[in-house]
Amino acid sequence: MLLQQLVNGITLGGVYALIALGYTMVYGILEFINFAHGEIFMVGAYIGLLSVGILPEGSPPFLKLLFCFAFSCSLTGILGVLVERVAYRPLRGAPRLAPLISAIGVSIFLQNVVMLVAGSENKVFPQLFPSGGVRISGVDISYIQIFIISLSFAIMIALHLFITKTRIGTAMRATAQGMEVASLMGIDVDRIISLVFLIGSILGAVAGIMVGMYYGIIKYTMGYIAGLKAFTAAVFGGIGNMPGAMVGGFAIGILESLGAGYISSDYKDAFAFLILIAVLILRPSGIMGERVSEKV
Amino acid sequence: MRKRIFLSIIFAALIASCAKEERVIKIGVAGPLTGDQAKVGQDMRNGVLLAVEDANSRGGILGMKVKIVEMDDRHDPKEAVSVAQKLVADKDVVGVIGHLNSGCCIPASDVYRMAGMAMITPSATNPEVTRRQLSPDWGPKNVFRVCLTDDVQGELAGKFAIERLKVKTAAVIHDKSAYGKGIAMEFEKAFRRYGGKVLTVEGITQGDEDFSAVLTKIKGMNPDLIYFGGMFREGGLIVRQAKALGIRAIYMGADGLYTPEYIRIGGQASEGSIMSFLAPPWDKFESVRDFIRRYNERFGEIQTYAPYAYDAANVLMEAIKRAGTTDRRKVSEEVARTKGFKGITGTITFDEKGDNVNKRVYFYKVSGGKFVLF
Repeated sequence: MLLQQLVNGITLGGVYALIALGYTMVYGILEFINFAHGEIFMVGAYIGLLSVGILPEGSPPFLKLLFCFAFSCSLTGILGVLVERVAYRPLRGAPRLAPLISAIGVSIFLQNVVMLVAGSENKVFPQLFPSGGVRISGVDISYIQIFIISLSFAIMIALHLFITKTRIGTAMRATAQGMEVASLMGIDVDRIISLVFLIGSILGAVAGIMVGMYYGIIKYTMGYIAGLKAFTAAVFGGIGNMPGAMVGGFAIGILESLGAGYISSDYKDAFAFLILIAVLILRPSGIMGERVSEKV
Repeated sequence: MRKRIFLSIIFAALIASCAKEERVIKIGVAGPLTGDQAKVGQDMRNGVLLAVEDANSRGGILGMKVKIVEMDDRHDPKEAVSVAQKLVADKDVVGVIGHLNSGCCIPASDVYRMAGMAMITPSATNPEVTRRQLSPDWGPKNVFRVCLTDDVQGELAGKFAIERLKVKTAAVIHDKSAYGKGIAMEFEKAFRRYGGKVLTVEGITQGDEDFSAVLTKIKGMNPDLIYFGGMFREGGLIVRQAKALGIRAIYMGADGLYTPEYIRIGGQASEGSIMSFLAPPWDKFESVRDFIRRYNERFGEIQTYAPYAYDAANVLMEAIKRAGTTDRRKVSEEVARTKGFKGITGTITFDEKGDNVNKRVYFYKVSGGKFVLF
């Protein structure tokens, strides 16, 4: 049972980690919390649903899956960049509270747009995966769980390599350390920021589709709790710190599953937030906080 | 000068509003019209709408047209109280059909009580909804229901599980709402009394998506049956995740699952699950058939309680007719006297608690994406 709970927790954690990366990358550079990120995740799921409907009925599931991810990631990525251009860039020199409030506005706006366009009821997400699974020493792992865990790991490794090994990655780290100095070194800071929003939103879209496929239903309010938990994960790992967000995501997912399984399922949501309070009191910079100076 | 123009505009507006006013009888409909449970909430509203239109086509009541006032409580008890206050504040509203959820009915009924306004719920099954008005300080009765109560439904479900399904152990999950927890507790009591063993009782949160942790815990206990007290959304997600975890226990629920939405959300995994409901299958139900046909033409598939909402609205309108007035208190008294009312769902007679005396439960099984009689 412990192993089974761990598998559940890691699946959940992979999703949280992907969303948490979006929060932490933006914070690393702009030092503000993009509260609209949960909604980006939700929009990603809805666009994914839309894309499955575009393809003709009998297309092979593999093609549907690929198209679903490609279509949703590109549109959601563009949306993320647009949001930054319209709602955050004009406020770059403003007091810190201004972009935060702008982000809350974007969040409310996106929720309501989706509600008006798609309706307020639960939408059933089509099953693109065979429903079975494998059984390893008494632990049932469904194919979709295997898919979520391996895809989230692959994305995180790729992102890590991108940030540490490529020139653009270096430019991103430089921007995170000091925007003005980076621009003096010839880095186009605006482009780097757009890129960060693009990557963050793509990760959000991937997480959104994963949640849609895993649970089978999506709803326009789904970004709220998921966003809050991912934000908790980002703070848990040390906000602004990318490996921290990944570790934080898995930690929150696992702790939530174990808490609900062994202590009480009535308080499942409370565990994540209890951890947040504990971290903020005991170690305000997060568990990997000593590396916060590196930021992205 | 400007002030005079302003005043004359207001005056003109006042005259216009008086002149336009034609006396109507308003009936409130309160339930979740948006959000997770919107489908079943709208279903209830549609039932009332048809009843009101029928009454208007026969010339209205007491020579007045009937109008419905829709209120959305979003299945939130706090919201229910505030919409109840809005309905009470509208002097033309004579009575209310609703709310859909027990958790909303209970706090809202206090507001209606103050105004002496009758509230007839077509669907809230928690016994407390009407039992509360037996207390001496409640005053005249104003809360009624045309469906059955969870003590009956839970009792029969417990008996059914032991005697017909021949199971010995059960795990109980509920959604912590007045309805879900109430019926789960009634089931648990009955299941134990008939000799079954309840391994665990777990609460989940409405609106959550992930139930794998609690299901993994239940899987370790290996029960013969999982009983779920709650609504179709969580019910459908749970059955899906239980199947994915390889749980083979029989899955059973109550009227909260008796809606096509449950099968849509649960998908393939909902096959074989069992639920109780107070009516026989609609197509075998002679008196309802005509209503179902008209409903389907107008609104599509029936969800759960529309026929009961239709009856509830007719009970209220009959009471207004008998009372011969739109005085709220007099109407409530007349509703309480309802006896042998021939509705489409059967005969409706309110007992001293305000509950319908008609108490039968039917068990259904999902088979081929449809509800079939067990």
